[in-house]
Amino acid sequence: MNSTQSSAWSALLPMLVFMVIFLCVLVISAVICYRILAARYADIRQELSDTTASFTSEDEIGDLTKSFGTMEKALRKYIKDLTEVTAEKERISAELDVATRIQSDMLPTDFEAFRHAHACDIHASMIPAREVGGDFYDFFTVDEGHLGFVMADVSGKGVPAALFMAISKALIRQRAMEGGLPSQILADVNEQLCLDNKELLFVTVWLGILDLATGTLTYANAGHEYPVVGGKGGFSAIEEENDPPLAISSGLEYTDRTLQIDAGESLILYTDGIPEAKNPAGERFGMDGLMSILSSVSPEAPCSEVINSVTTAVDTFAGGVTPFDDITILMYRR
Amino acid sequence: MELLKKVENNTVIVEVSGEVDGSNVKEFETALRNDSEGAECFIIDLKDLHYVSSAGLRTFLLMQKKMGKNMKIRNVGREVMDIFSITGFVKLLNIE
Repeated sequence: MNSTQSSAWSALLPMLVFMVIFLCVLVISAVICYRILAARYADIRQELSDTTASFTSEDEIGDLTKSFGTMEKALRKYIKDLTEVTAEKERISAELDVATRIQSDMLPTDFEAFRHAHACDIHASMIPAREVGGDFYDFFTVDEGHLGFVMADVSGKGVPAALFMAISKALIRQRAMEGGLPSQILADVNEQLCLDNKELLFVTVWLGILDLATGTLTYANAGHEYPVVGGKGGFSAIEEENDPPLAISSGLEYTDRTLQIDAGESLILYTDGIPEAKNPAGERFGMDGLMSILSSVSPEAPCSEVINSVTTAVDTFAGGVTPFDDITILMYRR
Repeated sequence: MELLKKVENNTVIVEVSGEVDGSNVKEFETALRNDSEGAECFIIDLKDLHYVSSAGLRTFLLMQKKMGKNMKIRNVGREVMDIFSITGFVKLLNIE
């Protein structure tokens, strides 16, 4: 070795020795710590098993142990019940989802196309209640010179009402497309609905056929709310005695009536969800509420605006009270 | 809504007061079914009934179909009569 290497070694050597000693101290400390901890752990375990052994012998502690056992049983039962209830709730919730889908999927919403096709204005809205209520509306072209409008309300709730609604809507439209007076259309549909109706569901229906050439609206009302017409003087309800709803009794006859809807005049149809809406004080919106809000809108305002005013008014009036019934409204302006 | 049942000979009379709507219709139907059980003549007195919704109408209809000629409705107030009229139920129910 030359002198630089040996001086490098002599600098390093003390450091190396120091590090070795340091490591030894570390290892020894670790071993000592471990031993202390292990001994303490063993002590603790011994204490615990001593005390547990004494639990069964002391009355108060014995009760506590029993209580824990009872509590555990109760907890298990609670969880089991909760699981069953949740499953049931989910089933009901799923059923309601189906009913809601059936209802909303089948309501026509092609307002724009209808407006263009018939140079008119039209809009409709259906706000479902917490439990599906079976309201529906319909509008369609019967033939080149005639338009059809329907507003209806199936009694009952849930999936049976939704299905009945689907059937009724299809039957009414199909029969109406074949032509004829509303009284005849309703009578024929009534016969079909009276078959196989074990649930005793019924449906109130307002059906109108508008002659586009003359502006004459021929209609029949099977137990449904009064129609409202709008002109330069504002809106007014047409109060008349109605025939019974459909699907109750076979062989019933219906009555045709007529209204004039000239250019710029309008027709509003709705279901009883609007007049029946309740506020926290238990008061009903009523026909008064409906006519009141309609008197504050211009008869020339777009249908969608008028409808929005009504639904907003009902919502404000209800003040957070969940509606029992669907809120459905349709407006047509020639 | 309150129901008061009276029995006179073979006749069961139920007086309905208040309002019947979606919130209490189940109660209403159960009570009418129970009260009419086995009655030869069943009368529903609506003197103090102020309002009935379409849900309630269905109950009247069910009872009318079940009891047939044995069931009558009497003392219908103006408000409820209007409702029976709008809905065409005046033609379906046996109203005195």
